[in-house]
Amino acid sequence: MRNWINDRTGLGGVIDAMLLEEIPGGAKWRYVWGSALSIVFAIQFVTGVLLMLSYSPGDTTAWGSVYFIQYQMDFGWLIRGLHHFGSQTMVVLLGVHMLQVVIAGAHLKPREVNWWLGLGRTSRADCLMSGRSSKRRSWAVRSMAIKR
Amino acid sequence: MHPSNQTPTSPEYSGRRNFLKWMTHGLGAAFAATLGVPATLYLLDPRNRSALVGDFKPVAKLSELKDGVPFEAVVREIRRDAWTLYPNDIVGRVWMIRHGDDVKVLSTTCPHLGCAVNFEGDKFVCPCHNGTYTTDGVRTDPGAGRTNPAPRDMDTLECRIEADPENPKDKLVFVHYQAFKPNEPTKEVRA
Repeated sequence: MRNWINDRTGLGGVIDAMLLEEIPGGAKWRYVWGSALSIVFAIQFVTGVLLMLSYSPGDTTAWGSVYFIQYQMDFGWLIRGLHHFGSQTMVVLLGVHMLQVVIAGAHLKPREVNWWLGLGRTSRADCLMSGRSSKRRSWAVRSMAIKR
Repeated sequence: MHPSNQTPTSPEYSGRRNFLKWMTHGLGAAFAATLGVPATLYLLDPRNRSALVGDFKPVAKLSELKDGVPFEAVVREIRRDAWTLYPNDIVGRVWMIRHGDDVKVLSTTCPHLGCAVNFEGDKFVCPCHNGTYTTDGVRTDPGAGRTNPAPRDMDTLECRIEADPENPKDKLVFVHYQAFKPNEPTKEVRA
């Protein structure tokens, strides 16, 4: 079964490439922030789509639909809670990850494009999300872009 | 973290590596299940919501009804669709036929294919396929060589006659409205 899937999708190779990648100088705990950020972003994406399916952004329905998700739907409190704390977590992880990148000099030649992609992805995440936390985040991105 | 005395093929090395690999997969699977199982239940939530349970609603005053003459009335109910509340929605229409102090209540929905049944002179006639019924809702011959396609008599609805709190001389007719499956030989509540 595993081989059948691997032969046809090469999925095993992708997983191996991510798990068994040789890291110059060996694996370090301080390299986890990028992965952590990606995982939290994936959680935000999944919970965000789930919430979107039940949220109604009308001036008379917004509050009611959020109440319904939170107190009536099965595990609505968990999905919304994960999304809420995930967005807060992303702000923190984003800062830590960027700091780690700068300290390691990973934004310098020849990896500037990677840095720009990171900035771009952050601002795109901004566009996808709303509320207080994203305002804070876009402030962070803008100041970062100006300083560069 | 590479002990120099171990080669990638040594049993200890591969055992440790396998353990870490399966730990990683296991943790990943556990986290995926922690999100995946609630996510699936969240998606299936609407399936687990039961249909609205109807209640007896005041539909007409007894004094409005004339003996033996069908009277059409609407049944209004609070209808809730997830977070949206329809406080005074028409959920159905009924024909009410008074016999002294008793009232027979029939759904206007034709048991054949669900059109609204009209009252014409001395009988109920469905405009769609000539379903014809007596004033008590019993199937009759439509006449003129036509056949009655209805599989059962008109659907009766439960009703209660209670004192009118606003007018002690009058009474209110309460109806428990239900929808039934069309084109079935027996009356079955539609879920």
